[in-house]
Order: sequence, then structure tokens, then C-alpha cells
Amino acid sequence: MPAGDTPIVHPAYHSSMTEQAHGALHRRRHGIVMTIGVVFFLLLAGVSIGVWRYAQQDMYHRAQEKFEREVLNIQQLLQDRLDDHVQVLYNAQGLFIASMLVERSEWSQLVNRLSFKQRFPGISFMAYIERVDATQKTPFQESVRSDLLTYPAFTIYPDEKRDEYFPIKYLEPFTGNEELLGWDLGYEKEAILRRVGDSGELAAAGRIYRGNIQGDYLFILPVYKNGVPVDTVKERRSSLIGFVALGIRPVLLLDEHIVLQRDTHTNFIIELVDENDEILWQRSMPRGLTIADVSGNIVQQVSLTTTGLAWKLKVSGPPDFGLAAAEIKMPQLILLGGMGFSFLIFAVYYLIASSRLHALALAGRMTSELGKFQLAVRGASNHIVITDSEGIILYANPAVEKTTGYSPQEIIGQTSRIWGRQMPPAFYAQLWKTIKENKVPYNGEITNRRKDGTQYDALVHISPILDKGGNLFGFVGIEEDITTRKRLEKTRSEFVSLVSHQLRTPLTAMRLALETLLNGSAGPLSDEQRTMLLRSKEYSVHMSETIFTMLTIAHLEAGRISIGQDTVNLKELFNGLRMEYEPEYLRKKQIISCDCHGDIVLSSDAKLLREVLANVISNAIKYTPDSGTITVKAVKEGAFVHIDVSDTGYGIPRVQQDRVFKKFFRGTNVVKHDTSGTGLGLYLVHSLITLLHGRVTFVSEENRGTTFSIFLPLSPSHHESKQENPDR
Amino acid sequence: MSQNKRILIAEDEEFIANLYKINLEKHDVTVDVVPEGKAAITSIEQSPPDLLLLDLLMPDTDGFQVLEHIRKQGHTFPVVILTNLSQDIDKKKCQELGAADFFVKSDLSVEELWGKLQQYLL
Repeated sequence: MPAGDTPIVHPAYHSSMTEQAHGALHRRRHGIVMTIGVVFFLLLAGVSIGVWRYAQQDMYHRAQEKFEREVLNIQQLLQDRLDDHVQVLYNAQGLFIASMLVERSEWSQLVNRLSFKQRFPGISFMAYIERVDATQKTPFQESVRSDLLTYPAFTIYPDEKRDEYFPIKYLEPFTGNEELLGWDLGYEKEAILRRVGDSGELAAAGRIYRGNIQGDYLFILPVYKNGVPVDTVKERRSSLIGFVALGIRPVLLLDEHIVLQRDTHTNFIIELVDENDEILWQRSMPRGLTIADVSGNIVQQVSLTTTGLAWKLKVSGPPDFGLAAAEIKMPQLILLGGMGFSFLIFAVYYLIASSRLHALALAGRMTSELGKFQLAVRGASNHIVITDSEGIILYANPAVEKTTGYSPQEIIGQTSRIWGRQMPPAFYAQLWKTIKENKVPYNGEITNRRKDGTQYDALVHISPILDKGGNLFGFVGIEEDITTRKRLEKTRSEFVSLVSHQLRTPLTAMRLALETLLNGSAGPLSDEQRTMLLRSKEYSVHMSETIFTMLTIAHLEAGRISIGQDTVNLKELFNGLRMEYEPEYLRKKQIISCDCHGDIVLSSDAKLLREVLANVISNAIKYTPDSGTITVKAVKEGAFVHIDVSDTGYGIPRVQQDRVFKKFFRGTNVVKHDTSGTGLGLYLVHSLITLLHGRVTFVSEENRGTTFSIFLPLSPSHHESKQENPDR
Repeated sequence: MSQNKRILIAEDEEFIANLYKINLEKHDVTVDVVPEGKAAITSIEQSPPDLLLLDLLMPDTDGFQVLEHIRKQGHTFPVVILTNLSQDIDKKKCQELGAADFFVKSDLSVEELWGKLQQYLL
């Protein structure tokens, strides 16, 4: 038939190749997915790094801008301050323009009005310098002395002969600056005084060192006579009467206005240097740092200019100047976030892609498995059908045609009734109940009918197919046509039955006749006749036993032995057997002792158990020489009974001991003593004990004897525990 | 106890049937022998025995048919099967048809048989 023709090697070979191909495909797909994932990840990571760098640059740029603004603010502030300070000189000049002669008290009032300390803290002093001709030196000194009673020793110094003197006449604040009074600036600053006098413009006149004044900047503005023109140099020269001067101390000028805030600035340094790069003033956070000490900071230099003076303001700040902590961390956060996001995207992509790959691989494998499964079902020699839950056939394999005569195409869509309906309706009702309601498989023999009308016997297995929820999906039915096997079995059984019957009938006649003769019903017997008849009876009993043994083995091997459950009293069983074998052991002058501890009662098959013990005991009698001893011992051991049958017989040769329970085994040493054995007894004993869920072992030594040990469960419920090694 | 009891033996082997008759009659029972099923039925219909020893394989009407007839007629005397068939299936069939006991002829001595029959003759 077609199914049988299908080569089995082919699909297996094919499927193994397919599996390899699936593996390679899966690996290749996995490689592609990984490559795309990594490239994608690197791209995202690159973008993250780019954004990070841009954000960092932007941050520094913003810091720079802020810093520059701050520096400009400081510059503007200082410039304004400086200008404000210097402008004070115009106020002083105005005083002289307003009145011909400015009294010392007026000068003091002006200064007080201007409230230097509060409004112009950078001013260390303001002075009026009068132009004194050499001829006027003495009257000038005396006039000042009379004017300034508290300073009677006023004199112009340094005392040097010159054409003109430019001594400080008025000075505010006076206290602390006393040494400046009378100081002739012409001595050190004549050139600049003359230049300023000529130009009429406010000018810086350099630094001065005198007494407490150490390096203050001097600014001067000329004062001319009232009411004369001062448009030309000549006019200005002739009308110059003196100067108003201002001492500016940078430390005082700046300290008031620059406040470094510890919280916002680190490594923040401000330096003010003069045109010779000499540091006029310096502040830093932390204290003591100079611009030269710090690298990596932003440095900005701007100028402060007034009246020809060029100071430089140098400011140094951290690269992240003026930014909040959050702003500073933003680039790192962007980088971290970007990398994290990239990784997340990669992970999600990989998970989705790999689960899809897994699903694809699974689908591929399932398809391949399904293919194998279909090939197996198609190629199966047993008839297989798959139905829905109502029994409508969805699939039938080609073997169906062999059993039923219907092709798969003919029965798909039908039910199995088209080849069934040979059993009573009640049987089918019960069958449906089993598989559909109870949802358990059915196993059994059913008679069906082929398409041609002939009946056949089938061994049927029907399994319900349940889904995960236990709902019925359909059925799988497998049938095996056992018509031929059953017919052969029936023939064999009938043959065995007939043979045994035919053997037994003459045996029965002989046995009955011998018994009748022996009991004297046919007349008295001589001793010699009696002995002969007794031996004949023994032979007939043996023959009967042999027939029983052979039939039992035949049934056993056909699996047709049913095990009964009887209550067996071991002691009674032994006594019965002893009586049965009495003529034999008495003739051989043997002693049989039976040692049963109490009444041991077990639930077993009485007939089979009797057969087991009869074989073992008759063997012991048969293979023990005259005057020997046979001991039967039985004892309960847990859930088992342990029976020992020992003899002082010929024993079993060591080399043959592993074959004792094989069919037709006969010890080479006993064949010469007894030729009547069949070699079936111990084979039967072993088979029956196994059937009764027991176990048999033996210990034997040639010419010393043999002990057979039999272990049997006390009741069938102990079968399960027989694995507990009953022979301990 | 078994005095005046009547045993009917249905057995086609006349030699065997007679040996049973000789040995059983020693125990003060009346033993009648019929050679096959039809005769057994006739005998039962004329006068039902106290015990029927029934062989299974007999010409014409076999032991199973005799058993069926007895059950149909509603007889209540015990029927002990005495046969040389020993298959479980035969034994089971006889039990279903109401046989009281089932013995294999060649396995029992006459005395052992008598020992087992006495309970049915009480």
C-alpha cells in the first residue's frame, strides 16, 4: 500500500538537513539584527556626544558672555566712579571762578559740603596749590602762618631756590595729611604743572609719595584769574594763579564697590594695574590668588581712562562663570541622558527584534516538526483518524483504506459510523460517554465492517484532544486490524484445549481404574500387585501434573492467565502437598519437616501458588537422594511472606546456576539420577512468581543441597511496595 | 447424611463413567449414568437428581446446552462440571450458566472428588 512505500529514511534525513538550515538561518538573522542594532546605537550615541559638545560650548559661550558683561559692568562702574571723583576738581575750580579770593574757611566748607567720606571715598585729599613767585615766598609764608594759627611753622618745602613755587596752601582733610601742607609740587612735578597750566585741562599728574600718601594718584586742574581772557597759552600762562589738586587712592576707590560673592564665584580675580603693569589693587576668591596662578580661567582686560591716565582692569573668572549649578551640569546630563536613551532604544529594539526572531525560529521549527509529524502519521501502518468534537473526520491517513476499504477522501467529512455500527447501541453510548463527557481515552476491541461488507475486529484507541482549558477539541482514533491475529489465537487456543483434553481423557481412565483396583473394588490384590499399581498411579499423577504445567506455560505465554484472589492458608497448603507426595518421600526414606510460624494466610491465586510450591517441593524430593532431609520454612517479613524450601540434595553446578530459571534447563548432575524431568518446572515457578508480584532466589552447592527462597506479597495491595527489596 | 441421594453422571466415556459410579456408590449414594446431553435432559425431566456431574464435551448435546436447559427449566439441584477442559474461558462460561463447581477430571482422585462433592449432598 502507498503508506508502506514511503521511505522512512527520506523524511528523517530531510528534516535533519532542514534543522541545520534553520539553525544557520537563525544565526545569520541574529547577526544582521545585532549589526543594525549596534550601528543604530553608535549613531544615537554619536548624536548624543555631538549635542553634549554643543551644549558644553554653548554653556562656555554663555559663561563668557556673562563674564564679559560683568567685566563691563565693573569697568563702567569704576570708570563712572573715577570720573565722578575727578569731577570734584571742577567744583573746586568753580569756587575760585566765583570769588577772587577764596578763604581757607570757604575751602573747608566746600570740602565738607562734598562729604568726601560718603560720596567720594577714593579721594585721599583735595588741595589748593598756589603759584608763588620767588619774590613773594616770604610774604606768602607769613600770610599762611597768620591765617593758620595752629600751624605757625608753615614753610614751603623743599627749601630750594626757584623762580616759582607751587606749594599746597589749602588741604582737606588736613588730619593725617599734615605733611603735604607747604609741599612744593613744582619740585617734583614742575613740567606737568606747566603743561596743565598751559592747556587749561584737567590732567593726571602721576603718583606721589609723601608722608602717609604712598602712591596716590594726583589730578590737577588750573585756576586762572577772574575776568581775564584765557583763550591762548600766553594768556593762560600770565593769568595762572594756582591749581586745585586731588589725591585718588585706588584702594579706597574700588573696595567700596567690588564685592566678591563667595557663593557664585570661584577662582575669581580682579586686578587693577597701572600703565607700568604695577598692581594698584587686587582682590581674589579665594584670597591670595593672582591671575598668573590660575589657568583655564577666562581672562578679560579693559581700560580705565581719565585725563590721560590709562589703568588696566584685569578680571579672571572660572569658565562656567555666572552659571547656575543646573546649567553647568546640563551638558553632562544631556550626554548621560542621550547615552541612556540610546541604550534604551537599542535594548528595546534588540528585545523586539530578538523576540521576533525567536518567534520566526519557533515557527520554522514548528513547521518542520509539523512536517515530520505529518510524515509520521501518513507513514504509520495503523489506521489514524482525527475528528472534531462531534466525531466528524477532519483527517485520515492512507492506512485507513487498508482497514476499512474507504479512501481518506471518502471518509473525510463523514463519521466513523460508515464502517462502524456493528456493536450494540448501548456500547456506542458508553463509548461516547467515556471519551466525550469523561474526556478519558478509550481502549478496547470493536467489531467493524469494511466497505465490501465483511466484518473485522479492531483494537481501538480513541483519545480526546483537549485544549489548555480542558475543553474538548476533537479526537484521535487509532485502529489496528486484529482479525487475523484473533483467528490465529482462537485456533491455537482450541488446539491446546483439544490436545490437553485428548491427553487427559485416557489419563483419567487410567487413574480411575488404578484407584479402583487399589481400593479393592475389583477384588483383593497381592502385595506385589499393589506395589506395581501404586507406582503406576504415581506415574499417572506426574503425567497429569506435566500436562497441567505445559498448559499453564502455554496460557502464560499467550498472556491468557487470569489471576484469582483466594485466601490461602500456607500451613494447610503444605500439609496437602505433603500428603500428595507422601508415597514418594516415604519410598525414598526422606524426612520432610514443615516449619510455619503460626497461621500465615495470604491473599493470592490458590491454584497458581499451589503449582509453584508443588514444583519446588517435588523437585526437592526428586533431586535429593534416599534418606535426605527436606525443610520447608515460612515466615512473615513486613508485607511479604518468605518461604524457604531447603534440601540436602545433589545441588546445582555453579557454572549452570545462572540458567536455572530458563526454559528446558536441567542440571547436568541430575540427568543421570532422573530422566523424567521436562526442564519446565523452575521456568514455570519463576514465571508464576513474577506474575504473582513475588520474587524467587536460590543458594546451591553441589552435593550439599539447595535452598529456594520465595517472597510473595501478603495481599495484592502490597504489589506496589515489592520494590522494597523483599529478600533483605 | 447422603443416604438416598441420587447423583446423575452425564459422561460420554462409558468406562470412566462406570469407574466413578463404582467408587461413588461405596458412599451410599445412588449413581445413574447417561452417555450424552440429550439423555441427561430426558433423565432430569423424568426425575431430577440431587446432584448432576456434567461433562462438557459430549456428542449431540454438550454440557453447556444441558446447563442452559436446566436453568431455563428452573431446576435448582447443583451441577458440578467434571471435564478435561481446563481453559478459564470454559470455567467462566459454566459459572455464568449456574454451575456450582468446576473440576478437571485428571487432576482429582475419586476420593478427593468425593471430598468435594459431599457439601452438595447435605
